[in-house]
Amino acid sequence: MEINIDILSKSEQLALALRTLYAKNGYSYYRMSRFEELELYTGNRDFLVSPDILTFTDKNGRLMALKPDVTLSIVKSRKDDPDALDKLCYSESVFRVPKEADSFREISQTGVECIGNVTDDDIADVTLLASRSLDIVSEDNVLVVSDLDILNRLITATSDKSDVQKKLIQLAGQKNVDAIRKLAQTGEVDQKASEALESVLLLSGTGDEVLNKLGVICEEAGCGDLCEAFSKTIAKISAKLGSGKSKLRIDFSVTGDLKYYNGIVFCGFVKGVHTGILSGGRYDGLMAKLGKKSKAIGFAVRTDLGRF
Amino acid sequence: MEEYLSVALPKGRLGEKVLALFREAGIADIDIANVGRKLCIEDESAKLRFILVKPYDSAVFVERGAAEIGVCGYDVLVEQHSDVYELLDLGFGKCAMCVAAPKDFVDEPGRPLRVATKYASAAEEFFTSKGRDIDIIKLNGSIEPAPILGLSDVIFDIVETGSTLKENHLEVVEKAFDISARFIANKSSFNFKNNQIMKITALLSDVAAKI
Repeated sequence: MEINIDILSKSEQLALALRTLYAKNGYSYYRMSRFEELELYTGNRDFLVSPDILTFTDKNGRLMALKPDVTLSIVKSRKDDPDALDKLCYSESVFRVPKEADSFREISQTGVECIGNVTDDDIADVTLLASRSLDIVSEDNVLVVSDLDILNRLITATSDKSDVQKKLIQLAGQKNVDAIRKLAQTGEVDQKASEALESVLLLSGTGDEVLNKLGVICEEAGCGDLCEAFSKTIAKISAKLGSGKSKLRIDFSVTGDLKYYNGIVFCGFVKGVHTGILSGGRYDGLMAKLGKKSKAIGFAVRTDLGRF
Repeated sequence: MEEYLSVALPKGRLGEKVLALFREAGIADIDIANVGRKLCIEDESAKLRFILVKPYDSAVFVERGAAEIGVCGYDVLVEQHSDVYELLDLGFGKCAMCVAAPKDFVDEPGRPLRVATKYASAAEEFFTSKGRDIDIIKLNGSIEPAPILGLSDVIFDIVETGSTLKENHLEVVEKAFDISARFIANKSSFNFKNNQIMKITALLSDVAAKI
């Protein structure tokens, strides 16, 4: 069968190019239904980008949802084998309210999930694959990387109250150092720990620009071990990226729900598109919450933003 | 060559204050007296393009990338849940979002509280956090007449000096949150024009600290 690629839309061409990349890297294609029982999402709403879900009742009376997310479905359906490595890729539509919109949209995503015995090398490989995915979208791209283990340690040292911790994660995502400073002035949080959090949030740049400063802050804040592990991961990724390592930036405003995500998380941007087009990271917390022993990392690229 | 950086500014008093701040910080030299009715002003040497928009829209311009940076009130960020970086509290344009009611108002917990406001989302969040059932009456103009004419029980609105409330026989019942002008940046642009944005942030921070 001969296919004329020119008849495909830009979005379809991008999805095809990404799938080709993932297949070359050993990821098998995984096709799933557009529907899922609502119950899967009700217990894990915080994992979703938006809590809003489109629902309907099927002819058997089951309450169903149009998928707002792909990862949960893949994790649910795969066998839990912590000694093996399951590498899957997908190209699917999800239905949700994007951050910048007021109503539901059909969002096209192509992504990968790597589940099971995920090693440090696998984490570096998946992060590298995320960067390669951005290269397909545009040469002018940046993959912004953060570490939730470090952020989590700094936030729990700043406050032991879960509502304050939730607020601090939100403020970290906004780089809102002034608001954290004001919280410290009220005495609601630990002043010394909040200063470390503020300093980390002010860092933004390449590994060479950030890691030494991060090391000093983390050492003083008692999380030097986590910084060391993060630095090793960044060194591994940078070595594989070679000349493209300047496209990798470190910035702790890339966050996620600490119940689900851990370790390295990332967000990808291309010049001229106002929002992140790639997001992903490790989600061992989600695996544990679903009763699985496997570790996991993955990411998704939005192929529907239409300006590529 | 350095690319232009677009700055979304609210038209009116707040925008004028921001331009004065940019001038004081040595970032750009725009003479407010020459702005007139222009909606786009460029400072070629600073490579800055100021876009003057309605106060409620500046965060949208930044969030959607039409401007890389901008200034808006905190009330707008809360109401619109804008997905932007909030880099600085500029420390001016200070006021507060308050619940206000007629002086003889007594809340009846047995029925939903009727709340007149321009800020429906912020009001919903505030009263939900308190567990109070409300009926939002969304208005676009003056809010103060609503409780006087029986349209609502209370209003949820910005209070600066309190003189408008006083003139309309209303008083503050509760403060929801403090408001001031915030310097914001688009999350994508922050990575591609990081040096320019960080330089401006540092200069503004120095001047804002003296306010």
